[in-house]
Amino acid sequence: MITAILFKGLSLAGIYFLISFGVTFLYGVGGFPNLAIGPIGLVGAYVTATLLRDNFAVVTALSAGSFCSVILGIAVQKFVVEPLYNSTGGGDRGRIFVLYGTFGLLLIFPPILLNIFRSTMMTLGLPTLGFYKLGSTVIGGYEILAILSAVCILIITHWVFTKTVYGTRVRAVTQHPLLSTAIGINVGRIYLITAVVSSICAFIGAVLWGQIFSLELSSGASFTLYGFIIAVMGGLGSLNGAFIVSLVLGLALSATSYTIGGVYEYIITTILLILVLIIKPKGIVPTRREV
Amino acid sequence: MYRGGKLTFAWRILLSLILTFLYFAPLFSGNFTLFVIAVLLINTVWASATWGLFHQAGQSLFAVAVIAGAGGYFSALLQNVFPNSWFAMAIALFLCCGIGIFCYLLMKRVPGHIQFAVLNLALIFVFGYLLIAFTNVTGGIDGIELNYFYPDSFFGNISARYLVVLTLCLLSLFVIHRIMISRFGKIITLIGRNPSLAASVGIDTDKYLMKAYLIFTPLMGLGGILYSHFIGHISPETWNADLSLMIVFCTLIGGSSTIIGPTIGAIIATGIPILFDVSAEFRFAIVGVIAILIFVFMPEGLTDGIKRMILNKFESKVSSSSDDLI
Repeated sequence: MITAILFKGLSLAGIYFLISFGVTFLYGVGGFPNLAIGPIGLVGAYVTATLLRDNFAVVTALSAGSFCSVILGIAVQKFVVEPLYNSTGGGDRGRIFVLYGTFGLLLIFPPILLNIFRSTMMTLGLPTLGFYKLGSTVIGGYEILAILSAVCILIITHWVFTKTVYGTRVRAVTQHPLLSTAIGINVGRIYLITAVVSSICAFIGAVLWGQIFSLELSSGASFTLYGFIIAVMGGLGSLNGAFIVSLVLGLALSATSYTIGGVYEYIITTILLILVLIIKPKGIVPTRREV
Repeated sequence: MYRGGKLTFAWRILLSLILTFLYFAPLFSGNFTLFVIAVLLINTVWASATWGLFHQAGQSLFAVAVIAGAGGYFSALLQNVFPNSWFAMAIALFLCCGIGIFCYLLMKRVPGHIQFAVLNLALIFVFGYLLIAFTNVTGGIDGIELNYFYPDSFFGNISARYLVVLTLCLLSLFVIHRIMISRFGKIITLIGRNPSLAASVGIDTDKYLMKAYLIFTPLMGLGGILYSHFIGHISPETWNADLSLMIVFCTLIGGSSTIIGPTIGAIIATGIPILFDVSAEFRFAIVGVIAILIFVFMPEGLTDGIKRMILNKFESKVSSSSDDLI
């Protein structure tokens, strides 16, 4: 049972990290608290599920799904997040308006998705990656993929941030957007690339979630909620913090589902959030950006 | 609105007309219209109480669904102990104060608006799950049947229930309005705008904020209690994140400088979907679209935005006429 709890916990941690990566990365770089990141990933996963149901090739379905998520991510960034931030004068007030504006998107997405896809629940028909036995525990291929994806994305992000010119530019924009503009960095493009990367991660998270569990209309709001809970507990904008919290939360939820089960998983998550906020109000790995 | 501390003549006439319409509505309106007006009034109370805490006192508390839902459930559960629903309602209101203190203690500890917004969302979700987890107490997804207002024989009629909701909602709005124009209201507005300045002039900010929570959270709870007794049923599906977000949007859409803002916001958020016969699934989505458009084009909200536009027009007229003189 301990091995089962451990592996289910790790795979949950992987998915949660992928979803919270979008939130954390967008907030860390641009300071935009984009709550629409969950529905953005969900739209791509719904498109993938629909195409797979209509017997399209897996590669085509995944490419089309990720493309939809990216386009939607860019559209939200360009037509909602940036106008909201700029029209309210930027700064803390701008961020709060972005937060509430993207709250609005959480209300808009579910009925539109329901009308387009005509289904509240969808299952992804991706081909199986096999099952592997570890002692008495059977682990699915997608669960292992979720763990590997999260670790790979964390390593790649660290490598990009520390070893490449793009990473240096992103760090410059994070620390001082105005000064970065003055020295010729295209801040708008950096924000756009950030939105694209976040959308892709949200899509991967949603697809893995859909394959391991199932996709529902309410999943978008749940992804956002979990993404933000992890981001806040880890310290807003801190990828390392998000990784640690995803790990703790994944294991805690897995242990809860094996021992108590049912709706108590969500109750435990909220209790953990409240405890972390009481003990470490700025998160486990606090960053400099605060609202 | 006010001149020399008194309502202007035009406002008195307008308010009298509105009150006359609302009190005589049962004579010429059907049950559906009365239901819509009652829901609109309850939304206005939620929006105004949220406005008081959120915009004036600067507290990012928008978990209206939790406080209002808790109020409704407390009242529903207490009806087993007190057959007279008025007692149950009074005790439920008192218990809502406890939730207010809990929220205040959380708010005091949490550092920023985003963190508290996430905490609000988490509380809303966990409230729903708690209601389902304790099915034997809360009735689970099916909910609980409530008595109408006591005595049931009289308030079984929707017109009578409507008049109770109308009177209590108007009373709540009057209380919120009087509080916000009182010295206490001015102090909590100052704390909301600039807590450091308020503390520097000797105001005990903690004491005043706690009082603000103790005033506004029971009013949110009252909305939930009235709603539950009005329809005679309470279930978890009503008290979700959509409701809370809609109430916050009411305050942001209408504007935040006076209580008229959240009132207009509530009228728009409740009225437009009904006016355009929007299907139930798109009701909240329409509010979301309106909110985003207003945030982008009129971030200060409708009332303040229109006031600014009129002032700008007036100023440009004055400056052009003074240019002519020169």
